Parts: sequence; structure tokens; C-alpha cells
Amino acid sequence: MPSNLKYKASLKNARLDRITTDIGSSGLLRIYSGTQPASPDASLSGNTLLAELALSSTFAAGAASGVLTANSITADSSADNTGTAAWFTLTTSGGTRQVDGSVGTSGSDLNLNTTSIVSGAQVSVSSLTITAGN
Amino acid sequence: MTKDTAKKTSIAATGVALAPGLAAPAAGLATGKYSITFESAVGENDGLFVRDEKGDLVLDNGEPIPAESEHLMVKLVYPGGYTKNHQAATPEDLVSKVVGVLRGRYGVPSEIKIAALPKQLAAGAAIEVEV
Repeated sequence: MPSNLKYKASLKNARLDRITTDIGSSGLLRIYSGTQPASPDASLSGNTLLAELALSSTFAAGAASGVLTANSITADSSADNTGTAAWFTLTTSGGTRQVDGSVGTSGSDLNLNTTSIVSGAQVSVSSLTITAGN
Repeated sequence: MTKDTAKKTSIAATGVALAPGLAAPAAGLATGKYSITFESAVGENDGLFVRDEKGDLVLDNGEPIPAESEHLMVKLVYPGGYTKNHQAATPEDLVSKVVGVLRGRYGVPSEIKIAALPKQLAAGAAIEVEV
């Protein structure tokens, strides 16, 4: 019999809210080129920081119905480097990575209109939600 | 039950990367001299590790870290208190990034002169600019 694991709604919300807790105050969303590390616990290697966006002082309001919705994210008005966006990370204000995800133009965790980031240009993220699994 | 119904946690985010010059500046900056200070300069992987009694970075179990940081993350404090981290290996790496912020965020249209550049990436240092 395959797995059929299910979590109580309040437990799913609590797990999502832990993300907000661990990001802490005034976290960051960073977009990188290069190969995405195996996990947020793995080192950056050969990755170029393309853009850094500021999360709200509180990353998200409390999760509801298994969905965590980020508060507003401030655009980076001047991308640091030109390159192809491949992945992003949500970090603490000190830069410790908590959540990593892919970047693309469709079907990725973060979908941009283009993955071609140009130095000096604006990069914005208009919405971000994290939905709990079962 | 004939199939696995497990659903993974997922992220859905959307955004826009513009071409240069298409966004309005977020702040203004009068002509003059400004000091852009280094609030901190830490290895880009430092947050993953702990320091041992000698101050060296190690894994939680005390083993050496698997990869040294290739760059520092330098947190600069711009006029008005705006802060931004930049990935850099040398002070020279910061020049184009600082100019980009002064143009993109502050809308400085004129020449930007780097009057002084520190020799090292270290907290407390500063880049002096004239706009």
C-alpha cells in the first residue's frame, strides 16, 4: 500500500509559519545564476548574485488553509550583475538561506517574464505563496 | 489505494525583470559628496557554519567546512540609510554595483566620481563618491 500521509490543517499552518519565524525580521530574496545548491544547508559555489530584494519586516502573515502568503517584497532597483537567473533563496537579514527554489519563465517556483537579468535594471517579485503538502 | 497521493510543499512566485532605464528612481540625491559605508563584510557561506574555539569556520560537528566562500557579502549603507548587500571579492568589484544603485535607485543622471575606494573589504570602511 503506498503512503497516504495527511497532516491536520493546524499542523500544516504551523509548519509554514515556522518559515516566517526562521526568516526573521527584514529578510531577503536573492536571485542567483549558476547551479542551485543541493539544499539551503549546502554552500554556494560558482553562483553570482544577480539581484537582492527586501522582504517585509515580517515575511508573511499567519498561514491559513495551508497557504503562506508573503507580504510585499521591495523591488531591487538596480540588479548587481548581468546573467541568467537560475534559482532564488529566501534568507534572514544576515543572509542565512532558509528556502531555495528554482527560477524560470514557467513551471518554476519563481516565474519571471525573463530569466535574463541585466545589471542596473529593476527586478521585482509581485507575489509569493508557499502551499503545504498533504 | 493504487497510487501515491503525496503532494509536496510548493512555492508559487511571479515577478518581472525589466530592461535598464525603465523604472523610475525610488529616491533623489542632491549634488555633493557622499560616504557609502560598509556595515559588514562576511563570507557568503558563513551563515551555514559555526566557529570553533580558534575562530575558524567549521560544521556543527566540528569538521572543516566543505567549501570556502568564494566571495564576501558586503552590506553597504547608502545615503538616507538604504542598505544593500553586494557580492564582491575585491573593493573594485563594488564600483559598478555602487554606480548602478546611485543611478537606479537615486536617479543620478550626471557623472559619478569614485573619490576614494578602501583597500580591503572590511566593516567600517567606506566608499567616497561625488555626484
